[in-house]
Amino acid sequence: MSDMHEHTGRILIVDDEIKIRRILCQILTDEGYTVEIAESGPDALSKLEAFAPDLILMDQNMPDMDGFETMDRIRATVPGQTIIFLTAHGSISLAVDAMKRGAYDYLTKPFDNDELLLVIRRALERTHLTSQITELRRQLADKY
Amino acid sequence: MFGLQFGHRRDPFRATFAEFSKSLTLIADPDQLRDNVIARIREIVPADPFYFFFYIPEHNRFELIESRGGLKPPSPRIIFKPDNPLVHWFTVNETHVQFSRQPEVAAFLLPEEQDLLKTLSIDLMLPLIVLNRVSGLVGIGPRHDNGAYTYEETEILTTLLGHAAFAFENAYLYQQQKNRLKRMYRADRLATLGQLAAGAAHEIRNPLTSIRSTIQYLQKGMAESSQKALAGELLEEVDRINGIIEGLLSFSRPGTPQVERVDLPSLLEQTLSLVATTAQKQNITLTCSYEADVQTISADPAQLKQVFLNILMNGLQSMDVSGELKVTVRMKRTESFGEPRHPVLDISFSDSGTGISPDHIEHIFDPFFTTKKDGTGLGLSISYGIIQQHGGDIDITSNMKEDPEGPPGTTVSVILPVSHTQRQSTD
Repeated sequence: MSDMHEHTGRILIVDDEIKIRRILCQILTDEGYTVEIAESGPDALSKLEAFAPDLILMDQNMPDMDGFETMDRIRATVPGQTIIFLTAHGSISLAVDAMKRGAYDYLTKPFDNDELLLVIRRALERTHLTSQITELRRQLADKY
Repeated sequence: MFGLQFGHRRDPFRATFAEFSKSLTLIADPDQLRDNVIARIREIVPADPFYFFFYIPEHNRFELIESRGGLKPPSPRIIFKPDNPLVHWFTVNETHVQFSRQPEVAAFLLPEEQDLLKTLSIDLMLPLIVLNRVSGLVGIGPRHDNGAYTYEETEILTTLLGHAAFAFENAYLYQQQKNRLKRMYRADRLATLGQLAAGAAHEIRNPLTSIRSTIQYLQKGMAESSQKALAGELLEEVDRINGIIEGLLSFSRPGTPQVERVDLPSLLEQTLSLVATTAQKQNITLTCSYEADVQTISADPAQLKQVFLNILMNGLQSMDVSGELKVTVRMKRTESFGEPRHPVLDISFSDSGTGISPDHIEHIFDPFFTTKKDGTGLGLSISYGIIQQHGGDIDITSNMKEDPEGPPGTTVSVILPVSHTQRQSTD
């Protein structure tokens, strides 16, 4: 494998399809990420605090509580939460809607694994930078 | 030989009349009705020549439909315009005119109308009137003895045409209603199919996701390149399935049109230039003509181009070697119960190809319906979805080679509303 360095980051996978959860978990664990899975919106909400993910992969179409609603609720508790939206609809309007509601990016199912990893890496880098800036700001505010 | 003599005339006419009235209620086919009416008229007045004009709402003019012993239809120059004095005179007076006896009426007409009547040697003219509106004209040559048509003759003709006018109107409305129902059923069927397709597409995409991701994951762990290649082929197959699903989705939900002002002539020209090389190779003449002054329209240029391209390619593929593909842009007026409705834009693509059989034409918009060897059957389905989203419609008429109706070929008409009101997407 070309990419030898291990990645760090905590990723929560939210999808009602067990086979998708399983393969995503496998792929991401192999890359070095710490992974947790949730099979529904409520399940994700209950695991949010304990797992404290750096990033969430969120399926759009789920029974009872769909991806949009789950995302809204998560962002109400953790405003800066980075979320990548997964959708099987593949319509532009849906993607625009997801981005408007605060998703960092979106992928259309089925996706290319390398593309998924790339999007995740970029999202985590940004999350990392944002938290660094917040930390520096805080230190600055403490000094003066 | 059929002079009108007093005494014997009443009874045979009454019989003709009763029979005629009865037959009118039974005939819904306009052609058959016309033949019947003409036969009756000629029993009463056997003069030559004889012309039958009908008002054609789509063209907003009276066109020659049938003639005996004179110039033959179709003849684009033999027309009367509804706004000109002749039709106006009939609308106001609601009666017949014999020009040789009423020179003041002839003088009231435009010179070109007088010339046309002279060319056709029409002496007696009667209107077909429905609800105070002239719907047709009957022109008859001079009486055999060059005398005046008698009061009896014109009265009978007037009464007969009064009945006929309503029968024609009925037949026309019946035809319209039939077409409307057909269109409604089609729209309904395709909408249902679209919903079904969208639902199925979504359901297929989830398992496809785990299949694709798993294959790709396993491929990375494979040591041998031949194995990697096999897995690669599987990935290609998955992507092929996904491609079909994408096509299905764009039929059921082509995306909200990004409407802007579009220069129609330049859009058509661009699209035609895309197929010019193919047409040239097949020795097919491409022409584009404008019967209306159309410049900018409101539409999604990319989607419209896709529709035009699809129709043009179908047209080219229906012709083997040599042929003609004509694009015509015109404004079409429609009316409903005599009330004019908004004019619509009609962009017609006519080819001289093999034509489409009647049982195929019903299914031509159905997704996956195709007669081509390597066709997906989604082209016209997607085009139909796009035009529906624009608030328009697609009409197809076709003649097969063995069809007596006319020269073989297919005409696909894209109908767009002139004042575009964007439909709200239900997505």
